Amino acid sequence: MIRSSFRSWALVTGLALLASACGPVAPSAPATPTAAASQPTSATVAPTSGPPIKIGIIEDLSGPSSYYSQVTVKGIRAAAAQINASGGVLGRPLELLAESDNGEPSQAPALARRLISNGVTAILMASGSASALQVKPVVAEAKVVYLAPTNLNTNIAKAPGNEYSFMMGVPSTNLGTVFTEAFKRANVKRVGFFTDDSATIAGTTAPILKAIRDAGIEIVAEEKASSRATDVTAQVARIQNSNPDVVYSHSLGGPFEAAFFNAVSEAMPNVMRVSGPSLCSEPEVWALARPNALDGIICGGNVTLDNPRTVAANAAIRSFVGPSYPGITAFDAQGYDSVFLLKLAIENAGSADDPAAIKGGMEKITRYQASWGNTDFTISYSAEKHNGADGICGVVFSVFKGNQPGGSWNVYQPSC
Amino acid sequence: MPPPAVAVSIVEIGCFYALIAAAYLVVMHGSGLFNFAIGPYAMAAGLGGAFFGSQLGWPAVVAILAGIAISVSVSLLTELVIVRPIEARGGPELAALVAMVSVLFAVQQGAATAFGRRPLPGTRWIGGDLIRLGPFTVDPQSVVLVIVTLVVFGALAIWFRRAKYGQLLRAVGDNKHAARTLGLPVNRIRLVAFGLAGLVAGIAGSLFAPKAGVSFDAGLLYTTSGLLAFVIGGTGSVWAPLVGGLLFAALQLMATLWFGSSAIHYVTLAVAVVFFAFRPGGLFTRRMRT
Repeated sequence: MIRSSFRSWALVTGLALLASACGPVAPSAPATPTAAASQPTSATVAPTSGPPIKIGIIEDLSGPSSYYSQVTVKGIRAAAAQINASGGVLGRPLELLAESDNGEPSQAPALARRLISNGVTAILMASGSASALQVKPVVAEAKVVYLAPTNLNTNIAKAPGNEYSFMMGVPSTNLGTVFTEAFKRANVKRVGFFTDDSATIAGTTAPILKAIRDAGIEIVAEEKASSRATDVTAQVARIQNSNPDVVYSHSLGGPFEAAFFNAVSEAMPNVMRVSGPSLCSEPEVWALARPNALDGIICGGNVTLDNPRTVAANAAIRSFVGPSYPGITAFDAQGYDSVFLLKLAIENAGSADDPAAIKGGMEKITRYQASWGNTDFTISYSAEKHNGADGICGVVFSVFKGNQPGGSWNVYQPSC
Repeated sequence: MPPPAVAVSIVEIGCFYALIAAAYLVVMHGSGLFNFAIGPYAMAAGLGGAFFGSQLGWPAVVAILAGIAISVSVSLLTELVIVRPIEARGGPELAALVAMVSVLFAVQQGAATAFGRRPLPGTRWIGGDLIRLGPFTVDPQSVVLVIVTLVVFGALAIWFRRAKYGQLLRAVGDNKHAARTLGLPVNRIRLVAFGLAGLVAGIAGSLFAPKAGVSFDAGLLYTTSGLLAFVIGGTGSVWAPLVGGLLFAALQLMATLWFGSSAIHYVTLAVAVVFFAFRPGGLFTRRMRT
């Protein structure tokens, strides 16, 4: 019977292969008059009028990057609501149009074209870096400002074809710098490195590993698993066999990260564990881990409540989301700031209908005080600099306690 | 010998694969069909239980039972609404297979609509700290998974041998046309088979979901993994899926351990090629009287 049903198996296998291919507030103390224009005001608010300014969002509702994507979008929506309640942008309300690529980079260009044909003034990328790179030529051709709030891949904002593309999050080169310094401060000599197999992560891993190796720190294991894996015990055993001083996970997050640290907490409970920005910013993932399995993990890419703008942003997003809001993370803060940066750019341009002027408006933004990162962290753009981070202090290290980010890591915090 | 943690994972994953394969076996005996929707049934049970437990705050027992009830219900509906009309029309085998694949995707999308497209933490059957047994560290949930797996297989073995419908199921599996000619209630037997498969798949999905969460699109992976475990084991014994599941899990994890992460894909392909080319009946083949 099995023999006669070979066609059945072939059919489902083919389908399987096909499928497999397949809270924060506005800055309160602007450093420059340009930045000041973006701040919400408590003065009497004029009602918005005129046609809405449409802002496109490409998000991930169900793919591997959906955990952080939805956190980011929460911040974007909160900021748009706050801006509309404060009189809009140039007196016009913001309208958000969202499309989901479900974590499939190949879908992103078509979605970007759809948003553009629907008349968006700008596009915010809330899916993975691989999707962001796919959209880059589309926005260059259409001359629509494009801002990636959380993506790490530095090529998004690099020439060629970057005229309309801007980044706002921590670039992977900066991540490499700060993690390397963190390892040096913690006297780490041997790193066991773990990643998922997504295109987004593949595009951001090389600068991080290069920085670590250039510092003379040995990568003793480099393991990978499917971003949809539910068991990574064998990979963890391989890392354990390499006897690392630290286990470092760099992934899109989601259940993958929970499965990894569940296994590591059992196999190597006394080895230093480090994770990138995703784990710090995905509250739903914390619930997927076994009780206390995340405790002690040092996570690079959190927020600090020492930053007063983070505190304000936390209150603003909470008031938008409601009591279920679990509290601010870097990703919703970045989503939140991205809308205020677009507001600034449009106000600098004096028009929401002139793409070239809005691009110029983005390039005029200097020392925007972010709602994430350390207190001194700012974002600036120019014609030559489309990667907004001013220095490495956008990364905050914290230590997990009770399966959620707890206090600041006292060994090292990057400064600008 | 694998390291203790890997050995524990082999048993965990192997038991899960085995339960899914057992559900395939039951449907195969009762209808002669490969039911590709078995994986989504398991997913629906896990995701439903997770949704009721983590999102609606239902007590764990109620959430788990409700999740499994979804799996059984959807499986019964598959028989009543999809398979029975096709069989009544005397349609070709391919029509039923395509319908099963359609059900696979329909259940996935239905679960996404009902419970959301994001992965949820599975509702645990049992809580408590990790259990240390010598070099082994075991999650209590995994202990339950193993015990329930053995109970399910034991119950199936007894049912097939002793119960009226169990024996009828095997008769239909041996020769559906002969069973119909003899006046056996083939439709009712097939309905029982689908209901039982839904129950076994639901138990599997519910038990496995807490391992690392469950999402609506996990069903396809469950389907292919369980199918390969079924193919390895064969149909010659009720216990064959258990052997197939454990062997397939061991091959996957040991290949990853010895050769690195990408080896899992080669092993999966190799298993498929080797068994279909050289051992299409699986390790345990049925002896037919001629």
